[in-house]
Amino acid sequence: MKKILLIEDEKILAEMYRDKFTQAGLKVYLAFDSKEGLALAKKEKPDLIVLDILLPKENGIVFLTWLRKEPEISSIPVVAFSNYDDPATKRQAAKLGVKDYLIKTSYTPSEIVAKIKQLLNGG
Amino acid sequence: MNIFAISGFVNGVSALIFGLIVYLKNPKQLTNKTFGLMTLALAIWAFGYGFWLSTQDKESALFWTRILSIGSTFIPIFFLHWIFALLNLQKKKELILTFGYILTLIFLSFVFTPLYVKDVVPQLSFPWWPEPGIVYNFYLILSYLGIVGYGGYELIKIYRKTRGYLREQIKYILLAMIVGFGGGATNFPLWYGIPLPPYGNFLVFLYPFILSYAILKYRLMDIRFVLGRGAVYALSFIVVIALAFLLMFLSNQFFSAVPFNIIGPLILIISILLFQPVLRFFEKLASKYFYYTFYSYQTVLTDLGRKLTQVLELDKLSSLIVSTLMDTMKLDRTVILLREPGDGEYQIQKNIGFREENGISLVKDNFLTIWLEKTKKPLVYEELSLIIRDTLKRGDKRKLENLQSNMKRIEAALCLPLFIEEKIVGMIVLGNKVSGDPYSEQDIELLTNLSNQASIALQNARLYSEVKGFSKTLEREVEKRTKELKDAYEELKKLDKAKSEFISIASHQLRTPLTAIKGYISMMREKIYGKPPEKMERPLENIYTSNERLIKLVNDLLNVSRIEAGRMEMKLEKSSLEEIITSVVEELKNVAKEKNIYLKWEKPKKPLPKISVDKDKIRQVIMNVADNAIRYTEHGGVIIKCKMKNEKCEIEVSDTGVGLTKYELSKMFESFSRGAAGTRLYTEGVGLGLYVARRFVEMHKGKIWAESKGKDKGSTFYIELPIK
Repeated sequence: MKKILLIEDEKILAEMYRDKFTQAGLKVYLAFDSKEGLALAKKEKPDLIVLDILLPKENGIVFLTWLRKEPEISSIPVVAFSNYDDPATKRQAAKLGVKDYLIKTSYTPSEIVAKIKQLLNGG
Repeated sequence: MNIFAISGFVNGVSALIFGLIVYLKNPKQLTNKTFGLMTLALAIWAFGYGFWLSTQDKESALFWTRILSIGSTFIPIFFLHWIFALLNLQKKKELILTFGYILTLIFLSFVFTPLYVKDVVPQLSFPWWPEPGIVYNFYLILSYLGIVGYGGYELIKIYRKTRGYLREQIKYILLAMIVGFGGGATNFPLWYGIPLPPYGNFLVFLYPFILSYAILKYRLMDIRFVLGRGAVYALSFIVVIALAFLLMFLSNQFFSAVPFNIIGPLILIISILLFQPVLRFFEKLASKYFYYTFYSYQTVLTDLGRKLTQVLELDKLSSLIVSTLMDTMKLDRTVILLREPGDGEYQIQKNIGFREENGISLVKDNFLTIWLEKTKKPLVYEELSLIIRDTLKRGDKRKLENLQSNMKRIEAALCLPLFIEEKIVGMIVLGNKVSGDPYSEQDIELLTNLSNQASIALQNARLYSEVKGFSKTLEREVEKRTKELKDAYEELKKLDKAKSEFISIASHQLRTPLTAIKGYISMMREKIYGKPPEKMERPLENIYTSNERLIKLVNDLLNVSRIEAGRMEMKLEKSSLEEIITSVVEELKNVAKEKNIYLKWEKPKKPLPKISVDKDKIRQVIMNVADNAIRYTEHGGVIIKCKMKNEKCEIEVSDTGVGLTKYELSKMFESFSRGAAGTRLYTEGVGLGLYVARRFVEMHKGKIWAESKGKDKGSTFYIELPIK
């Protein structure tokens, strides 16, 4: 079973995606901020990290810089997943190696699952 | 008549003329009165001398020698009286003066007795020359050695103590004494049978001349200079005359056959031609050995004049002027005052030696400035008392007296005005010469010339520094403004950033609940939470569609605000328009189907070339236009075409809908406008779609427009994009 780490501070959305991802046969770990996310990533070594960008305290970009400094987890693919649609932030995220930057409202949960599965299968 | 007789008459005329000049200048002044008396006595002596030497008759010769003696007896005491008047000693030395007068009167009582002039006898070539009586010996000793000698003694005593103008005056008086009394004394040897002709008598005419010069002139020439010039001229004259005599002698020896009326003029011409070179020779010699210092000083000041034109910095220039003046003239203090161009206030530009407040005190009131502007001459402290004496206006007199005491207090000796076009732009105030010498005529002349050059140079320097200062101020001002602009720009940038962040964050906040709604509804419709009752399918779909509308609205708002802020970024990549259109049609297919209208996509027969566009934006454009077309069409449908036309791609979206009025066509693509039909048929939109489309197309340097035959006749939208 593939492991997904979802870092998302909006409880409603986190719950919703967890439901959908679990239903789609994925093992979901939830984290509500960057620190927690990093600790969980180290502990569980997920196959993919779905990362919200506007997080309390340290944001997603900070999380990415932390992640890149941790050799054991730095190679885990990350999908930025946010409603924060700012070109500069998008560029920063791309620079830090995110596989994609998805705007949440543009996709239904099913579409997201499709994207994730595509990435997990080496797409 | 022999030449000695002539010299007597010349001396007499000289005495009368200069005596009268001095006396008439100010008859009330004791100095002038006594000077008049002295020259009168001198004239009596001189005319007696002339008449005596021009007579052959013994009786009249004896008479004239006695008349002569009246004059000569009075000369010493009048001389002493004049000296006392000049040196302001007559009160202090009243006793001596009285004694002198008594002595003179005693001698005078002997004049017509043989005890004074015993007899006249032939001497040398003179037919009659007097012999002294007993009293005459006493007269010579007491009057000349006693009275005149005492006058000379007082002069030298004061000379040693005093400085400035009086000192220079005394020098001249002493010179006159040497010339006058010395020259006159050459008459005495013959009285005692010593065969020395009285050549000195020729010089006596200079005595009243020199003395009157010393009294009347405000400013005396440097005596070294006068003596030097005099000596040079005298020597040149003697040499040329000697040469003429030599030539005459030689021509007599060797060319005696040539008559004198030919040789004479020839020698005269040669002598005249010789005079200039000889004079130049002696002048050179004199400047080398005699008044060398004077000339070097002149050279330095002339050099300074030249240097002045080469220095442009005001501070350097003023230092140069002050230091050169002080070094060459050996002054104890100097200050340059310059007037401000605007209010005419004086400022100390450069000061050495004066106390700061003293340096500027002379110009505290306007009087000095006005005075100098009126007289256009340097003002010399030494001359002030004479100027005050000659000034009639009481106000001026009082102010001049104030100025005099002020100059004395701060030890300023000379005010040199600096003129530009008749206006005083400043002045140089000089102190005293360390030597105690006064400023000579030459000094003043040099200083005046120098001041003309200095004022121009200083003015130039000031203009230069003003221009420089101005450009500096300008630079500073520009810098300041630039900084202000920069700050303002930074502020704006911050605000702008804040604004765009605000929009990004606001849209993020709006999107979060929309995401939850979209997610849950879509999952409900996907039956993840179990199969919903059938009658809920339609409401769920409606919620979903409305939510999608809201999401689109937020996207449009975000886009519009980015466009308005100029922050919309372009991500160009080679893309296939056909693929883009296909995906749009794919997405809208169901919408059309639900409205029971057709949506046709007529692909071009020949595939179009890929063109460089921002794929997402162009997709948005086509989506907005096609979505609009579907929304405003109730019957028939929408056809999308795409073709190449003049190096451009043209996308055509035509519908069979409500059509557009001319007014609507003109307002169509403006923000927040909406076709009138919009209110009727499609109320959710706020008219942002076409505006965003237009701006996106324009960002690709393309064109978007619409055509319509009118109401209910459908409309066609065109999107034109350049291939390159």
